[in-house]
Amino acid sequence: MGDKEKEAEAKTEDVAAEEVTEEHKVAGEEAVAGGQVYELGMDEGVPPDAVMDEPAEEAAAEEAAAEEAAAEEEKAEEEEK
Amino acid sequence: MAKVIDITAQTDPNVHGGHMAQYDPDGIILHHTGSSDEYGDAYWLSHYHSNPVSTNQMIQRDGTIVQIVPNNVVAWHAGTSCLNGRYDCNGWCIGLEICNNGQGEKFTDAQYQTVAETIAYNCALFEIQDKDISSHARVAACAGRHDKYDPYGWDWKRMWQRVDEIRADWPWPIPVWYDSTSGSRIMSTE
Repeated sequence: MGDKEKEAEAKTEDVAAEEVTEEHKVAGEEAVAGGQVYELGMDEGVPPDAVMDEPAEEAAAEEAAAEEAAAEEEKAEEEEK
Repeated sequence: MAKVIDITAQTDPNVHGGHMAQYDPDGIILHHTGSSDEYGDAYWLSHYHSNPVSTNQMIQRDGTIVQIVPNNVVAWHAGTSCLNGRYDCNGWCIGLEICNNGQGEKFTDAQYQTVAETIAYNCALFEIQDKDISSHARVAACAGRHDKYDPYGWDWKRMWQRVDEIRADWPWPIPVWYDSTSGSRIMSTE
């Protein structure tokens, strides 16, 4: 590992507080103020694809299937008449 | 339960990687921020700059969790590191940055409570083993680096006692378990 790489590696892990300006603090405060608030365990927000989206997709598919079945039933009733 | 402020939508995508290699995190690494300005920390850990660094969760002095990068996405907090024979802890560990100046400031009671809660919760959610929870100082030293000492002054015994208490009296009415094989969430009422 070269000197430059070593230096970058050493820097990568520290919050260099002395480099944080007043502007940064305001931006940080705004970011926190604009965050979504919830209780730990209430909205993990972590596995975004499979976990969060799947139930919604399933529910939508079920709803569509139910609507289709109802429409078919209605059509069949009309035809009988 | 601890309050979570989720700012992941505002975090610069250039300060984190993609999903962890095995999708779920397998460990947790504790750090201190080394600063006394929490808003400055929130900015520094969520925006790209010359020394890019980020974390999954930042624990403020009042015990609030600021979620900066989702827990199963790679954040840049540990650098060269190794824990229990596995290198590159960023790729498989949640980073917890605890707000503290790193120069002898006492960690707050609220921080111990929140860290214990998030550990108990994430261990249950992701099936993380206790042996895979460690300090930045240790994982850096295991990889041959001895310049890290955080979280400085953290009382591990106290933290584990609180984790045990939370586990003995599980506070969440519906524990949520995440099946890493099928990618589906399993809800249990037991």
